[in-house]
Amino acid sequence: MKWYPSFRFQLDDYKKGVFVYYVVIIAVTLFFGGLSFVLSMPEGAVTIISGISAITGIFLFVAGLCSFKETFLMGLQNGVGRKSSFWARQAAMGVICAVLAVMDEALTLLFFALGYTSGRWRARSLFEELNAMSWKMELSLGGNILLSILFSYLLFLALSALGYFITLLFYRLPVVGKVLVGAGVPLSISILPPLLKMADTAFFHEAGRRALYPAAEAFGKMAFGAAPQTMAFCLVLAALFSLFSWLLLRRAPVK
Amino acid sequence: MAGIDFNSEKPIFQQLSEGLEDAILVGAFPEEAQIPSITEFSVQYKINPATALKGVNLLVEENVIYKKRGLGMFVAEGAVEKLRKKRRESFCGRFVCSMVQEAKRLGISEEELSQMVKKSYKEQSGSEPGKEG
Amino acid sequence: MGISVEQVAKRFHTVQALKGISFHLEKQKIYGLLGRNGAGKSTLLNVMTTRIFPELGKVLIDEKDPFTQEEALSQVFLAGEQNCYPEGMRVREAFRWSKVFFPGFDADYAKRLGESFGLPEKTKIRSLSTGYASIFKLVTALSVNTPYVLLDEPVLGLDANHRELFYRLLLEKYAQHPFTVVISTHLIEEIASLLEEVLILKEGKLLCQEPVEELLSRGYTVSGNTCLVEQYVQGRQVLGTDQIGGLCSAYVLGAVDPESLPEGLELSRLDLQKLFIQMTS
Repeated sequence: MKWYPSFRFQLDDYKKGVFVYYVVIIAVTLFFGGLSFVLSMPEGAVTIISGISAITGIFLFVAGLCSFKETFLMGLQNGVGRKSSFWARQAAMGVICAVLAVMDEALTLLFFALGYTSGRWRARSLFEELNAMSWKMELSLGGNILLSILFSYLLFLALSALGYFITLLFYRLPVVGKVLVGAGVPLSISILPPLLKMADTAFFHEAGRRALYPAAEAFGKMAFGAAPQTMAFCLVLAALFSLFSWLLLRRAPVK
Repeated sequence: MAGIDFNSEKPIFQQLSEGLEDAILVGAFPEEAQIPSITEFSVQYKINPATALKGVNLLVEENVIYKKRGLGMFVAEGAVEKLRKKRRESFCGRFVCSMVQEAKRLGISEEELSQMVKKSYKEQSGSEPGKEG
Repeated sequence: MGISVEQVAKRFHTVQALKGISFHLEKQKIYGLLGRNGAGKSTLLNVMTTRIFPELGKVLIDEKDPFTQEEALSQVFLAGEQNCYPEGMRVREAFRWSKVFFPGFDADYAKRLGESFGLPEKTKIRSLSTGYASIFKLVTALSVNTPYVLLDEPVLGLDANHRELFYRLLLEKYAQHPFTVVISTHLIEEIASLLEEVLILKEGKLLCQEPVEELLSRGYTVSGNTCLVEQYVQGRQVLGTDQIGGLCSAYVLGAVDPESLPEGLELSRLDLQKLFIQMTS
């Protein structure tokens, strides 16, 4: 298998994007951080910088959307088959997501340290934010850092796998399918639930609601109720999207 | 050596071998001299190496050219004599018959033709022998 | 060893591009893949390199199916119709990556070739003109050193000088380091002498696969006075005729028999291009 050259190529593909992304993130953060010194703020006001990983996640999702076709074609041009290409992609994402997760945590700690000395701003990772909001785990500093990184890592894997899957889906769909999915998904998300709710209230005396709510609640609790579950859920999503991507890639022709 | 005429009725490998014969006859490749390699023929005349090999092998079979392992191909001793003999044998068929045929077509008499031949001999005396236009 | 194509069929919507094609390519031979527009040449080359999937049939590269045994793929390089290099990649970077993907890629040779063709190294591949895009393709193909190199329209947009240079370089490379070459082209006259064998496609079917010499010796051309030619070809298998005024050339299949040739008629060889035109029209 010729996965290693493809792995290198896919890593390289991300390098520039990641670099630019962090330059922007650091610049924006420092800008707003600096603003808190320049602007006259009420005594004791604190600027909170939190959840860089949420933005990084979106970045990886978008990058996942954009990273299929060129790599695929370049691979086939250079004797890399679909299977090798797929495993190279998995390996590259494994590395990139890990690097970015560590990077995010390092930045968060850096901003935290900067803010700590001035007392004007505070920084928190996405995990800490969520933990403070809902999970309420008591953690040591080391545990906090480790779980922050792990949480970001798994979240990134899931998001980039989702982006990749969506692109592949659109690549494989014929034009009619593209239109149906492209218009159908947003429409069904915005129109279907209210319609269903109306129908449920009008015809079934909210039987559907009574049946669905506990199920949804149970699912939410199971998936997001605690940190380990949430992380496992991300991992399952990443694996599922990757599996779907492979099924689509397996028979993808050059277009 | 003359070029190769891709529109000629003769196959390319035959043209190559005849061109090589001509070159040997006029002394462009003296006996025991090395001749170009198959690659050189192939690149020079833009022909497939297999075709070039086939052309050269015609002469190898007739012992006009011999191969030295790892060194290349050389004109054999006595090659010129051998070629002259071969060409003489086919001279009548190749040149005289077709010349007479064309002369008849144009209404040139036997007398006139031999006059022309004599004149041509006179004009070309002194210039190198054996080379055809 | 070699590449085997077995009963390959491929359909695009309503067009049956390939209708069950089988052939075998041997190692270290130069093949010409000829066919009119839409005969299925590019489709065939794309199937052979797994870029598209055949509906039926299979491809074997050194006895391995490239669709399942992917290591077979790295034996083949297709310089195809479609540019597969990423947007924004420059010529120099492409050479660098070629070396990563194909350890046998000769980067110095590629650089030298590029220079002799005047290929600008720093230009983005996608913004090269048609001619230079072809040059980029064939420079890569000549430097890659895989046992099988497939060239789809390698001289598209090249001027006569560059075409000659390419033919010479190809023969030089082939002589130093023999490999299997498949050239698909419309400029038959130019490459006829380079080829050892031809494959002729017509409407998705393989019309013939034969050594060029053999194919050409299957017939001959007689030309002369139209009446005489018409008389002569009576009862013979005629591929076709060309007529100019009172003169006529007939392309006849069969062994040449100079003895039976009536006076006033001239005999000459078939040429590949004429034969091709007669076979495929």
